[in-house]
Amino acid sequence: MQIICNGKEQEVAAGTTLLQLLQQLQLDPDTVVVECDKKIVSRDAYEGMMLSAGQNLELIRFVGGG
Amino acid sequence: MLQIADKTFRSRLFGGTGKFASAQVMKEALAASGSEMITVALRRVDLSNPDDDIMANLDRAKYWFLPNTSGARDAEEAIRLANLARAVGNTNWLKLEITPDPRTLLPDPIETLKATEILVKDGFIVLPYMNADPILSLRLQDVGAAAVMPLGAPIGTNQGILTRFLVEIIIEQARVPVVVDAGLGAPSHAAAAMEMGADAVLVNTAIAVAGDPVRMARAFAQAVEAGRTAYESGLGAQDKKAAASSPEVGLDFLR
Repeated sequence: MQIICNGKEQEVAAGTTLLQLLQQLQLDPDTVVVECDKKIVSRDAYEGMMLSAGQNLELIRFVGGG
Repeated sequence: MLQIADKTFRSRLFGGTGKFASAQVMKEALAASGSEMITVALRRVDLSNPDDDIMANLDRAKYWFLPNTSGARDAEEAIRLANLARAVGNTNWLKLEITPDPRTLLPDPIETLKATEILVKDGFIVLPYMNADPILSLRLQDVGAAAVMPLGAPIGTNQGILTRFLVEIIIEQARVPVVVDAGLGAPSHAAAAMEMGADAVLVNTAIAVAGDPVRMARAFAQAVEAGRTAYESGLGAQDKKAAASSPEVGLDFLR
């Protein structure tokens, strides 16, 4: 199924959890915050959150800045 | 010691983490600066570069993180970024930065005041980046800003304190710490801000783009310390009329 991840379409297997997606993308779940359809997903929910087709995810983290 | 909200800081130099040539140089420059509070920004993860994680290079036990809302053009965008920062960083501290005009990157006073009020009510410790406007400074304090951050000059210009007279008024009237932010291009600029009685300064570009960022960070640390000590020591009054440093008596033998 397709989701949108950081503005781009992404193919994920049905039944994939948010935590699994982050692991597939080689991201540290402790330093990434996720917005799903403009709502922030709490970190405790990453493991239990099943992705569904058409969801719009934003993966955000800290970068250098002043 | 500098106190902001319920936190105390020994160092009065806050460090930015942007524009460094490498993570290693950033780490070394921050260590040389002695900074305890450092700013970070929030951006989309670059999915083609998953290992590029600033948090892997910064010790959270050593630094107090001050996420900024850079890139926000209005209060709504800033509030969205603030909530993301709180979620990713487990911190309610925030450098509120709302800059609608990419050419000047000057802060929008109306949106900044609006967002400060909303975010303070929502439990954030808000340090707003603001133009050097003494009335706005009072208004921001009225709605609960934990510190105010007037600019010396526009972000990244290295022009120094072009706003001296107004920053002096802001400091004189302040009920919360004043952190001079933006535009400080040389250690002498930072020292000048501290001599004026600023509680702290925030420096990023001037250190990050220096020929040797690590040594420049040390130079800024020394300047901030010198300026603060000078302020606490009480500077002599300025005068337009000369006054001899050597005794004026005992010169009879010359004439």
